[in-house]
Amino acid sequence: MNFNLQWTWFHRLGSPRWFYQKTQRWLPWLSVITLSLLITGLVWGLAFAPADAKQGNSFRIIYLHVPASVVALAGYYIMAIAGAVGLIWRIKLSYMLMRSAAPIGAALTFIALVTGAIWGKPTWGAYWVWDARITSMLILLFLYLGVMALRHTYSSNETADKASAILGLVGMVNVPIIYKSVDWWQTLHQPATIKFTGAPSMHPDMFMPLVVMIIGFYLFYAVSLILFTRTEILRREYRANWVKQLVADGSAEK
Amino acid sequence: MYFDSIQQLVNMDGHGVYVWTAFSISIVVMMALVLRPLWQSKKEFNNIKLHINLQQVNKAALQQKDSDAPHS
Amino acid sequence: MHNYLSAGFLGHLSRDLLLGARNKTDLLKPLIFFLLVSALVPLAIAPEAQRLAQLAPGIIWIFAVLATLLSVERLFSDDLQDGSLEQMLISPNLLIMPILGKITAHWMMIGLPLTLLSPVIGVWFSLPTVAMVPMMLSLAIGTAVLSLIGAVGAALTLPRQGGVLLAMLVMPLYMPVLIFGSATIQSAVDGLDWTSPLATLAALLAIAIALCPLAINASLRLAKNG
Repeated sequence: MNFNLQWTWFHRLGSPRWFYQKTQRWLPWLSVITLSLLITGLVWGLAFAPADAKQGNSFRIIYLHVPASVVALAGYYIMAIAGAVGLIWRIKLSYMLMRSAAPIGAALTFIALVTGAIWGKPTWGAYWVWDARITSMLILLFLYLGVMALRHTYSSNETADKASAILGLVGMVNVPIIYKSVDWWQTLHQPATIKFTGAPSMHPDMFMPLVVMIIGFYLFYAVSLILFTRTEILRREYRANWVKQLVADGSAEK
Repeated sequence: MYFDSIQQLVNMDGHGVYVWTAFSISIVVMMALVLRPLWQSKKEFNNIKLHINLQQVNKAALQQKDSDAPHS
Repeated sequence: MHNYLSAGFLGHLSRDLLLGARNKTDLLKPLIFFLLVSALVPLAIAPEAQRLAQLAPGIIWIFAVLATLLSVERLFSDDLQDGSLEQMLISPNLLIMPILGKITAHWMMIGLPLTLLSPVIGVWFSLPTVAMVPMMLSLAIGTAVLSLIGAVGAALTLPRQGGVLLAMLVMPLYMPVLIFGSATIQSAVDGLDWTSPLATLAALLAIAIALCPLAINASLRLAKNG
């Protein structure tokens, strides 16, 4: 009896319909919270936090660069794990989440790279410095783009999902290796490692808005992921009765 | 506020160009990450509506044909 | 000695070597490419021995990566076309041994000759003699890793081939190998400890041997349905 209940719960979690309906209710709230956090963090960081002693005001880019980098990296793991869950338990919804995670992660990595480059100019005098952080971010972008490109190699959604999941897992194993390698390569060529931030050594007045922004970016990721996944659900489940009902209801309201 | 005026906020002792450019690019990309799926959802919605309408038209046409059938 | 495991490995190793021997020209192409592009460098940059020697560790390794990329695309496609891939996939077992056999054959036909050819490039780039052996060791181990990782890419892109996607997928994964491979040569040139990055390369090889066949096995089964 207990076992049956557990499986029902588990399978319900994997139902695209359940996801669509649940998010319909909770997405507006999540969006409001996300927007509040992002606005608070940005206003605080850009206008109220003190300037850095060495870098002056350009250090404020940190409030965009670091959250984007953190979530971009976490996003790759989310994508890979969603793929693994799909492979192991064959849950369609998990594959849809994986599909959606790829472009979001790529876009965030792009933000991290661009803001990092813009930050580099006033700080080190050059737009691009091959330091460990930026180089690893660039490789992460290529990893994301690879997963996005692989989709078109396979004609059926099912095989395309599995292939992307395999590639995602291969990449996931490699991410720590790549980070460590680039880090090591950097120490070889630049004994004095330039650090963007020593987070604990930051003044709390500078650190707190950063925390707000990081949480805000994580929530933003969730909002975007939900939006993309809802589209993917419509795209794949268009033959299902509940979708037809949904569209019929939607047009009736107008 | 850390700055004494809005003008200073924009200028940021000369670093304003960098900070606000980085800010703008990030905001544009983030908006795209929300607007694009919304737009795609709308497109899918309309596609499905079209699909349903076509199905209904076909069904109606078949029923019409059936009711005309006694001729054969 | 002849149990199932080694039969699968040796069987496919010898088969691929035999097939390779029949198409010797296909084997020569990546090697000639390696030589050709290396010859481009002095023409494009400068024939001065000092500058070439500075570039040598990195350039040799980049060209080794490119040559391997060119060759790895064909790893499974011939088998797909003549139906022998389907034969392999009928087996209910994990295809670890056949896959490792094929990749070992590939390395013996591409990576190993590349390694043996590299002293020529070393001389062309005025690489100090002290760095020759470390260079060859790094290439020997490194190209094996490149073959393994490249095979994963080849298996994933099997339904639709056309070089660029394979390169896109595989390049990020190649970067650690590139870093440690060229670092081995550079350390030897600088008189530092070159066994340390070489050991890291060997560790990467161990990880690749353990994990790549699993990914390739899963991808090959997908390609059948593709």
